Amino acid sequence: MQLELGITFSEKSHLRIDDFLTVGSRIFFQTHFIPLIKMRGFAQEIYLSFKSANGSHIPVLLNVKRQNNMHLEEMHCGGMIISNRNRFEKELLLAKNAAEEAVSKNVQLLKIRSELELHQRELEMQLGKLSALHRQHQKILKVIAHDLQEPLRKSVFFADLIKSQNPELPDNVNDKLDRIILFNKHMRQMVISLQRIEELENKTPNFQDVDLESLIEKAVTISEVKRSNSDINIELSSQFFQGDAELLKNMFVELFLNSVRFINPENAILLIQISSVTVQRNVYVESAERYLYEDFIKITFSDNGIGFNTDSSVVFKIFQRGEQFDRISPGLAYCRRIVELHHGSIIAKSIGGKGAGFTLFIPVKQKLF
Amino acid sequence: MDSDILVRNNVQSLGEGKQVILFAHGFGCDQNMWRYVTPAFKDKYRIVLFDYVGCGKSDVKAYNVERYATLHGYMQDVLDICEALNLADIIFVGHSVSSMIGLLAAIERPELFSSMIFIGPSPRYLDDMGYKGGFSREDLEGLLEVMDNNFIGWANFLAPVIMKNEERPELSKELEESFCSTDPINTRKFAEVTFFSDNRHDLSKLTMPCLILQCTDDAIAPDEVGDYTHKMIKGSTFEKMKATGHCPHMSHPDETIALIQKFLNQKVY
Repeated sequence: MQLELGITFSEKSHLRIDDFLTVGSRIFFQTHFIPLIKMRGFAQEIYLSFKSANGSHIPVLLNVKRQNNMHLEEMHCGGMIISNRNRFEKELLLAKNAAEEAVSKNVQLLKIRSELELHQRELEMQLGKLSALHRQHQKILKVIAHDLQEPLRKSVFFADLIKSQNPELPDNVNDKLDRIILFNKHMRQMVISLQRIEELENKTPNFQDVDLESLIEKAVTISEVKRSNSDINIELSSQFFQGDAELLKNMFVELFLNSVRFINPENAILLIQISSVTVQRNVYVESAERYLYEDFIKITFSDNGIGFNTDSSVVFKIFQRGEQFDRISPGLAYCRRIVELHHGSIIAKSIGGKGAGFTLFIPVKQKLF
Repeated sequence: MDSDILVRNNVQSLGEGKQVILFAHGFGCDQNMWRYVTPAFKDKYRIVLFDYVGCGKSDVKAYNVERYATLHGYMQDVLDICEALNLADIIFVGHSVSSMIGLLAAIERPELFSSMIFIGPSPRYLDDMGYKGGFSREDLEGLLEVMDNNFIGWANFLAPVIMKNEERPELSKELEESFCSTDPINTRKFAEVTFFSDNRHDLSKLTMPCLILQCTDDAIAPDEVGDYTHKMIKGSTFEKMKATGHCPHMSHPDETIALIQKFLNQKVY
């Protein structure tokens, strides 16, 4: 094949074949052509566009064979200029692309329409179920939160009354009364936590631009975490996102209180590490085969407290039984609810005795459209 | 589910060692491109190879336009494989665009990986204000045009629908014999995702040892881009190779192997 490129070899001293190609062809040459020749030894009917000295492009169809000659690798090329054919092909390509686009749009539209109808009906059924469940849930929470307060308060009151009116009670009776008072106080704490969660259910979050650093600062002050012998290390590589400032602040207060509550007595100082980074995650968690990657702020919060040995799913449950009642704060259920209101997720990780760790993912943007 | 992923991504495991090296191929080829370097690591490491969905012998049916519209879909392939094989402490070796795919995976799940090795990485191919990626938008449109022209003849009979056709076994046989066989439609989409992506702001998020192998006269990832990547990834190791071109693991496997081994032997765990 003879190809007049109009480039005289004296112009450039050290030339490779891809120096004669258009940039697009050079990329194709490096990513497709070379691997093919290296591994298979030949390539057929490869389209490349050469660049002549006057800037015009010369479309060429090449057949190539690799030949090992002593220590040298030679590429033997044969081909033809296809300027005229290429012009027809370009028209064909345009027509083909237009046709393909039309077909794919049509197919997509039909598919989307039937999917939409299906989803609509599923959604309707789910919504019905959900609102029934929600009503029931609300009722139970309300009963627990409000109607239990009064009898608890009264039990404590009467226990105290018995104690104050009978100063000479035997020790064992006194002990039992103290325990009744303590249990009741625990229970009231829990009822108050429940009440806060119930309040969340009726709240529409007020999403606005928030600054993670100032949220944490406020929470540090409110939680008085610094009154414990503590060291808080904050490393934020991203800090601005959308959320309800009040709720998020409460959440951090809860996390700090949780760390203070479960300080490991073996450590001289309470260490808390908070870091953040922006990552991209698929926003579709519940829908299979759907993908849309958007920015999430990933916040990790860890301490050197006593930690917990249960898995993540247990930590955030509202009701804890047995020894976990004392070990895990019901406040964490409150934290999870807040993250969920932000369309995010929270994972807990811990090795007993080595501290607690929480990872939160919250979408950077809350507004859908 | 797990075995589905192994079939979907044509995952292959070999080698006698315990620590895992996960090799991820670049744009334009498949796992075959690693064949000249893997033998050198076979004795000491467990080697895991795979094809991204839409490349090589992956399951074309699994191609999801929405999922693979960004590099994150490809990242999900990597993470799915790690999970299916229950891999940990992984050394990730990525060629070309796979460097950025590996980077995203390492940011998403840092606990899975111990180090990253990038061969000819580029966080952005397009030139931008104050940044030289090496290509203009017209250049990259030109690439898509060249690809269209190359695929025009066989795009129709290689289309995914017919590839699943059992009545034409000679077709699948031909595909098996050919290296770097790719589905033209998916490959074109992969080209768009690859060459129009921008991961510059992700580089600084990498928090593990990282080796950057930069070739001489690389037409795809020029020196400036390698320097930029090295500068933005804190603590990264940079090696300028004698190898020319964009595929040193195929053209200069010995030097590629030696540099990877040097990096792995230096690391202190």
